[in-house]
Amino acid sequence: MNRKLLFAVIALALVGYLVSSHTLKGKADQITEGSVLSESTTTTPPPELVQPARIAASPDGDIFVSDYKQNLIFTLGSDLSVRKYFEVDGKPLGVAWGQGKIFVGNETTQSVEVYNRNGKLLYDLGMAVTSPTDIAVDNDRNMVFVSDTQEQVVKVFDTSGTFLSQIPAAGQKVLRNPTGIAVDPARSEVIVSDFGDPLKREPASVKIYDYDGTFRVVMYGSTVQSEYRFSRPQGLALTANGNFMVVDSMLGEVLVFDRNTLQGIRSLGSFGSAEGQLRLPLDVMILPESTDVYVTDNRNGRIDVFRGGGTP
Amino acid sequence: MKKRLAILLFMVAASALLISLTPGKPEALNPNHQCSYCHSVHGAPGPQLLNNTVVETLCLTCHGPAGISTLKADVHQNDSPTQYPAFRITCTGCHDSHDNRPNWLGGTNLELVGRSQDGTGLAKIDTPNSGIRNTVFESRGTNVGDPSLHSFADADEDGNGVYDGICEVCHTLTKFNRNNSSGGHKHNTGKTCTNCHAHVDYFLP
Repeated sequence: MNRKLLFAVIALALVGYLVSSHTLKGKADQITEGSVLSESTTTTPPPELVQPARIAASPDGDIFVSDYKQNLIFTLGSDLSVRKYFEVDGKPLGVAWGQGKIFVGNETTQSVEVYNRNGKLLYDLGMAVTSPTDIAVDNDRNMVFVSDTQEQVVKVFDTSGTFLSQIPAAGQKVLRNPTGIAVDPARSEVIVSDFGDPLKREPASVKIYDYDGTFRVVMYGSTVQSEYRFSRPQGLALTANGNFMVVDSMLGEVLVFDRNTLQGIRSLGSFGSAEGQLRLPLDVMILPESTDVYVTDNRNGRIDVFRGGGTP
Repeated sequence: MKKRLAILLFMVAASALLISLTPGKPEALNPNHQCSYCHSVHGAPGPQLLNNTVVETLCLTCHGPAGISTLKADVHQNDSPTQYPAFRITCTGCHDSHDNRPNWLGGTNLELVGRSQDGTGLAKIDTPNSGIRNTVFESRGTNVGDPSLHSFADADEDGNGVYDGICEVCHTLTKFNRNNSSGGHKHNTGKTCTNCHAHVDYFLP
């Protein structure tokens, strides 16, 4: 009899545990798996962005932002509401979406880590990336491009982490201090912003290579039309017709260039802290459907949205 | 043609004169900082031909997130005041971007620590509540294999009665390592303070 009672107690405890864990999982469609730090609850308000660095989006409209100060990756809605966030063990920089996963450049561990969208660390790309400053993914070709500022190259992996090649290829125009990166799958092009190097008498630029690392063209920030000059180029984004945007972190502007002529078309923002102004902007992203432009505004601790700013 | 040449020569001479009269003239520029990192001859938006109107932003384009320098930094800030008041010390509160300055003990500081504040040319800090004070920073501390003497906070190791380490020089309210003999001076004395109080994390614990 006592044994039966014991079994009954154990069974009840087990049922109770299963019910409670199901309730926890179902409580919020906001996560809870793996290394997720926290959820938005009534008792613990979600953190706010402090130092947004890089930004990317998934096709279904989630926006991912790395917060360099708080070591967090935020998932935001298009209205900038915080949907989720998870912690990274180190300083996150580059962030990108591909193959249903979030790729994060971790400056502290010098690696590119791959998370599911619930913030569970799945694996890393398996090869040291000294400073994974920015990441871009060609989803259809299963390729990940990582800008490594200190090693002065772009490293190319497949999404499972196999190293494929590096850009520039041997004998091609070198990168001095690469920072931001974007890919244009239609042209099979990699677009890289480069701080340049005054010691080598090379000004800041945007350089374009093909996927094999063959150099195609360079645009120097000191020789474009005067109103589009730049000196600290950071993140890049492509418009629907293949033109590109580059952020100048120094002057607080987003500059839009014609890919074919390399002439400036228009600019967004100006330096400052007022509405529509930027202080140390680091990245730019366009939501395809709305053509709204999202800019990580690091010193102002916010994301600035330029409605319809990404219209081709 | 001669007229144009004369105008050109005049402009070059005027520029040279302007630079020579500018405070902090780059006569001994830190080799890691090229002029054009921060200045433009044409179209500079800031004063003194600076590329930005806000020096902090200018510094952080390289030393901030995604910048190209490996020396990542941020301001010294306490934005969630507890027992200490809120404060914010920006880059130029501690650093002279042009060069390492000589200090009052006859040595030369590292890491561009200390600025010329009063015409002596010596490395000094304009502290929040202790006036202008000398600072000596010739060692990165024992955690990185450097001497404890003249490191971030050496607790007056040289016994001259002056607490002039770069971490000590301003502190008057902290529990440890103040700029006077009060409080505790045994908290990791001579060590590399930035190992725990990282520059990139506002120098906070």
